[in-house]
Amino acid sequence: MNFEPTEEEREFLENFRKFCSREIAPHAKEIEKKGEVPLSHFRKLSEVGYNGLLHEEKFGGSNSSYLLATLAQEILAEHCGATFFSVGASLGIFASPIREYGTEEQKRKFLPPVIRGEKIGALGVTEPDAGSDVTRLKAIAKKKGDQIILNGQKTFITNAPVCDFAVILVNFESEEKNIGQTCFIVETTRKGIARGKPMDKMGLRGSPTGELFFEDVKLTEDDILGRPGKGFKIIMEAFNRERLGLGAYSVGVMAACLTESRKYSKERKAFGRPIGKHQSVAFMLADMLTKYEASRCLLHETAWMMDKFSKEKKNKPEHNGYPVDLTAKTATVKLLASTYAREVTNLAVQIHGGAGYMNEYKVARLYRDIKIAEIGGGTSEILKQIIAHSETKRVK
Amino acid sequence: MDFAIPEEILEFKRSVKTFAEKEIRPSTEERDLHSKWDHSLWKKIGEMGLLGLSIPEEYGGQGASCLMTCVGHEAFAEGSSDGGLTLALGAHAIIGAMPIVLCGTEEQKKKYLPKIATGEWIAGLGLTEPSSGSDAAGSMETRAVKKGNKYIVNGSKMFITNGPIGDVFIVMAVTDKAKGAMGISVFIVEKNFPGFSVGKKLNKLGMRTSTTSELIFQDMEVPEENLLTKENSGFARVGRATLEWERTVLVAASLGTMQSLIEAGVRYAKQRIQFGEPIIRFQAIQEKIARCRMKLDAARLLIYKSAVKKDKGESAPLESSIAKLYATESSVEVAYDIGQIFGGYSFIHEYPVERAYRDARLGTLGAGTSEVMRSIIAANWSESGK
Repeated sequence: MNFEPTEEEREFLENFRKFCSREIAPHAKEIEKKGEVPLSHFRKLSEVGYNGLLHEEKFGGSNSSYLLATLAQEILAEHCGATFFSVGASLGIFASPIREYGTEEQKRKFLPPVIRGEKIGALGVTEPDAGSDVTRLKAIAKKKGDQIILNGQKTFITNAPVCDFAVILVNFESEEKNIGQTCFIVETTRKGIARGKPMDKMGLRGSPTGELFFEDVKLTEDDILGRPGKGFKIIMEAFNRERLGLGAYSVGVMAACLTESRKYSKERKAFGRPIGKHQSVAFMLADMLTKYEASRCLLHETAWMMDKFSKEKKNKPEHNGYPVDLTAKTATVKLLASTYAREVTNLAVQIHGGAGYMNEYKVARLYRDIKIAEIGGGTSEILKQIIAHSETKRVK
Repeated sequence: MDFAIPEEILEFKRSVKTFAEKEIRPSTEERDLHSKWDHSLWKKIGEMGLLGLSIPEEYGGQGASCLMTCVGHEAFAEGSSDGGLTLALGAHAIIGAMPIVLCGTEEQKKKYLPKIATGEWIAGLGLTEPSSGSDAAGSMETRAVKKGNKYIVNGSKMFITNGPIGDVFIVMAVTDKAKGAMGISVFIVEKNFPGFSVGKKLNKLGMRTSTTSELIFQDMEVPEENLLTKENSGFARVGRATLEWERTVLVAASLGTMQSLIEAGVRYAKQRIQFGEPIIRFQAIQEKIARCRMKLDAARLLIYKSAVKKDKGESAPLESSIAKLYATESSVEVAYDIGQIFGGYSFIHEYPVERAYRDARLGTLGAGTSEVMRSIIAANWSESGK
């Protein structure tokens, strides 16, 4: 067992941290005001190798590990949550299903521009009437002869107001039968696709969110991602990876809270000494560090397991004597890290007192930004069901 | 990074768990109810090699790493469902033996470790006193004064696991009051030293299968060769080294308990029918299972992380305190949540969760309260540096 990154990983991460504090952090406030992550951020992150971490070399990636990508994601989230989300939606939940299920042609078309940070991708699953219960999707693609016509709408989509491409999950049927939920890749310039205006959100205000509307949009068989009728599985796998990413996001937010709160607790004086010397504050800081460490260990183990087991087709792999269930594992890490991160941001604001309520302070933004981690990519309630189901199956 | 436990340690884990299920588990309820010590079990634990697990092989032990020792205690707790006996094992093999392993002279090691490793002698540690708990160094009243080639020790030690049955104890006493923590020395004390006596066995809320008492010293004579490390350097050196082991290995037992509790809870929820269906189908029950599972997964890694750092020969005050705080608080919560699943049955002695609920309570008190852990974490992190 070894809990430390390699020398090579450490070097990459140190450089990435320097880059983030130089190029990303100074713009966080301005991004929040504008409600948009500049395309230059996508490009710069590409140049330092962040965008391509989980993509193949021939498309501009470095084919690195989930572990290294996770460690880098923590750092980006620590510096700017909105950038983490917008870039993550493009390179992660949009591009990763293409990486896993795309044809060579689809990969060549969509991955390089997204990895280079020139184009932006998004994933559309949720609809106004279908959130946790994905079986209730209404958007539908109907096949008539050679033509497929798409109608419906998708909502709460990160990057919807700015995206060039989107992977969407919709119902699919031919004249004879219901084929089942299927993934399509679409360019947003196609006739019949419209966007709603950016939604006004509680947090992550710098990362634009919105709707996509589809009215008689013409699709072809070439737009299908993976096999027809197998879209649900593609999306569920993408959710596993997204949950790992949201774990990294939560850990990054906690790291920012720790830095801010530790610093403030030394500077701010009350009753004749720094507030960090008072037990009530010192103990909050201790609890914050403990929750951060707990989440971080589980996050790294999960990322390591994704590297080791997500490609392994061996029957019933085991990890340390227990059966491997990556769906339950990624659900666990997101549940733990997002729950703790929400608690940690609350303590961070509490330590800052009245100042923590002012948007001028970073912790006020973190407090608003974290809430989505308990909702997006599967609510905590859904995750608990997944974990309990896995335990029910495991324990005879 | 590498999160795989080496196969030989996993193998060892399976064998310890099977041993504990077969040899210890059948009598756990009975011994807990009557707070009974069964010495024949102790012998079997010794034969299994657990009593000298982390003692080097040259002194009759197994020479196991801190990680392997953690896994051993975890498996023993899981298989035996006996927190008290696992505690007695920890008091003996970790806080009793490790001060000698880590800080003893060659003579001291040769004299004591082989007997401890086999379990022929039972060991323990005396730090807490009736009036000295969290403020162990500052409030310590036990005094040792050198006279000729002996130390004369007066005072008492409280809440000593293995007190009533122990043969040898690591005892801390003040040798220079003016120097505070730097004026405390550590002694290896045998039960037959003149002036040594044991108070009555204490009646406890939980961990009832272990024995606990006060140790009383009245002009107790300790030969100078039983001084561990140098005079006045004991608390800092012996204390730190030992407590990190304690906060890692003894707490690892809670992992096994949590594992068996969660599995018991799931099994029960699958067969318990209410409102016409197994209660596992209710979200309220699923939610508890998920929360317990997530805490156990995280606690396990925090403890292993601390152990791996110890195995590198590094000091781990922060890691061990975080692991101890998180794992023990989680154990209390897990015992509570699983208890809710069992409903009224969790209040009845026959059900392991009733015992686990009482046993878990010690975790946040012993080896430094949760409050002391938070103080250490703050001192080592938020209050340190610039």
